[in-house]
Amino acid sequence: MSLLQVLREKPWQAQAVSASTSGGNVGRTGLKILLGVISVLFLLFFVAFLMRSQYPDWQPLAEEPGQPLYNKSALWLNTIYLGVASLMFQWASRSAGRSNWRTARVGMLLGGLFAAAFVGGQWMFWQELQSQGFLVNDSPALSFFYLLTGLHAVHVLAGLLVWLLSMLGLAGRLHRTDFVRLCTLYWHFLLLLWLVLFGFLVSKPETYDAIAAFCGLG
Amino acid sequence: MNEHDQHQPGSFFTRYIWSQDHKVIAIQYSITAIFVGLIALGLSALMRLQLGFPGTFDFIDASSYYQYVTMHGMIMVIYLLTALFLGGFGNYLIPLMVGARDMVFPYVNMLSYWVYLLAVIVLLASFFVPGGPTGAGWTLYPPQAILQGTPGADWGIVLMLISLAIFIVAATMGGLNYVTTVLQARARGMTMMRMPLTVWGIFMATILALLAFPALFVSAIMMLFDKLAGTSFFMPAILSMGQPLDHEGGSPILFQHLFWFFGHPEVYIVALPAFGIVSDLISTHARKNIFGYRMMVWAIVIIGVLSFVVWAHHMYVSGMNPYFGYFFATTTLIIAVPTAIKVYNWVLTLWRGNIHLTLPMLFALAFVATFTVGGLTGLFLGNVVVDLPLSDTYFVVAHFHMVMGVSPILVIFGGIYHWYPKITGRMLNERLGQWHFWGTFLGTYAIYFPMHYLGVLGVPRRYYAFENYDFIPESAQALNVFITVAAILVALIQLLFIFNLVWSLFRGREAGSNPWQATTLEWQTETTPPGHGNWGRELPVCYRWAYDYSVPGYEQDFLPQNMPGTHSAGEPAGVRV
Repeated sequence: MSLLQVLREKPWQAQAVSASTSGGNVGRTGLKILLGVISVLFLLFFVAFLMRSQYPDWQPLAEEPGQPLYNKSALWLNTIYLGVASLMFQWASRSAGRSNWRTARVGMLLGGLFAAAFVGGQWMFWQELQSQGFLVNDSPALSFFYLLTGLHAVHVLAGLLVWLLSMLGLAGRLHRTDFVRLCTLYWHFLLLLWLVLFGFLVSKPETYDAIAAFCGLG
Repeated sequence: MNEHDQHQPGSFFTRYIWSQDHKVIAIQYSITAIFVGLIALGLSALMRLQLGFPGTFDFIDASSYYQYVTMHGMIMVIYLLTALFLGGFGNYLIPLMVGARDMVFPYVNMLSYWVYLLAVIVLLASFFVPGGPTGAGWTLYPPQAILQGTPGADWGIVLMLISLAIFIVAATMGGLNYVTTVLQARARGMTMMRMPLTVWGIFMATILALLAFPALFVSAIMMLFDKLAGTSFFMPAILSMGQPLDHEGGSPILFQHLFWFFGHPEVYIVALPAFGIVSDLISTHARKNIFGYRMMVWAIVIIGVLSFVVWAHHMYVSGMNPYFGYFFATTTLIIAVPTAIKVYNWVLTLWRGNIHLTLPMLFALAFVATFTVGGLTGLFLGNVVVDLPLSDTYFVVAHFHMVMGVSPILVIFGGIYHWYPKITGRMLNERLGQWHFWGTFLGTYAIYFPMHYLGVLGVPRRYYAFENYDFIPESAQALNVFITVAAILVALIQLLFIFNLVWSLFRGREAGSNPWQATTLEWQTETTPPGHGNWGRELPVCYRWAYDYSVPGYEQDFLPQNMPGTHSAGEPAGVRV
């Protein structure tokens, strides 16, 4: 029932009580709401980024040689790690749906390992930047890079914590199709978020200016 | 093991400390929130002592005054009101009112409380660190919040920002529970539009919290970076103590936008549960169905949506683009429409009702009056040209204390007097309650009414002392003495309430299961207080809406929501929308 239909109901009138309750997949609903909250969080960071990018001291990160993100190969490799992690979870989810638990377990294991590789890769990239002298307070765009990639990594790590507990067999959750599906949804979301984040951080200043102007921030 | 048995706790610890029962968690939330609220009340008394009797108390210097102001504001808004309405009332009432055994994620719900407690501990720890808590004002505006010269610029502000971030994690964990429980754990027959308005108010406020708190999180994290890592998100090039700092190019206005994008919905995070609760108090104690139920729900939803597009009315004097002011003044005045509809509907519910002047009803009536007064002064401040001269004066202090300080607190009191019998099985003492009500109601008017006049005189707020300002007449000081005396009396009267809460727990009159003869499901539980799992073996079934009071053709003047059958004598009386 759509929201408008719900709001037009006249509850003071007599109605038959339907046989079904409101219950559904509460885990999925809860996760979707959580993903909504995380999306709002990053959206607000993006807005702050755009507003800050309109000030004269803004320096892009990936325009010219010598800028911190000009060489993106390490970040592309990390993207592949996270993409493969997402694929593995999808594989696990499909297998779990067919009650093929052996494959599902392998998929879950590989998915988690690739996600861990992503976090490790991000950490190494940070170290690389630091060794080149690109510190967090060097420029506002670089500050945003550390902040946003760090926050994204925290969300991956939170997912990995749940994954680890399940792999260790705590609560025996691995045998629940729902759980595997929720993991898959979460990892697809993290991949999507990373792709948006990656694209956003390496965009040209003209792109920021155009978006900011479109939003009335310019 | 059946579903009911799964909700039976084991030991003392799992029953009362590490409890996953929503009712115990609600009580934990409430006690913690009231505890920090009392600290904030004490801080306001200290502020008033300085303003009423400047120079008399040696231990209150300018720095500590600003620390009192800051901590009072932040604790009251976030750690008391938000936590009590959502964590306290939301936790207790949602599962009971929608007919669920518990929240859908009880473990996360338990974590939510403990994380909230951690946020409170971190916040209170700032009283004991070098330099004390931050004195930046509850809005924490940069650049001054993190610069030397502001009290608590070293430790206090860091602990404040960390505490806020922790609080937001706790609020998100709680919020996921409340929203999912309302959406997916309602009893059979409990359609969304059969839910009591209390649940609607808390539900919508929780959605606002889930969407607005991230803005506070973003601003807190970015300011922590500016403070600890030397970034320049908000910090412009600036001299501090005569020395240039490393920051450059940051935007303090960016912080203000982020802060108020959270800050204004926050007003409604507090107000919407109050709207919902007061609707149920008025309907129950006037023995009449709520006037315009659908419109009340629509108004809650519309206010929730509009609350996200009014934030910059807090920033008329910030130097932002003047056209923004035009836009935000318009949206601010539009939000008055659904709000006014609610006030009309409360009054029309009372009209020709069978009004019982019980304590919950007294507090509800006091809320309607106070909220109207506070709302009307909001119309002044919402208009840019009127706001400019009144900005940063005591008129603003009077306005927001009336509309989002006193009003929601009156509803909290009303709600506690109303639901205490269900929570404990005993009634609160009526005589003590009457003293508490009249002292609080009249006392708060004695405090805040004169502040409007001070504001119109141009007396600025946030000032530690008012010496040598020629434009302030001496009589303003006489008014300040009066306000201080009233404030201290009101603070002392709250001790009566605390005493009543404890005394009645042991000596209060036995309440029975439904002392107010209310229709909603929480009053229809098998035992009072409800046991773990709420409903015994069988979940309730909901056959009617929450407001079947004084239905013609029935002997009793209320029909509980779980009472089977349709109305034999037609639909309930009253005007319908």
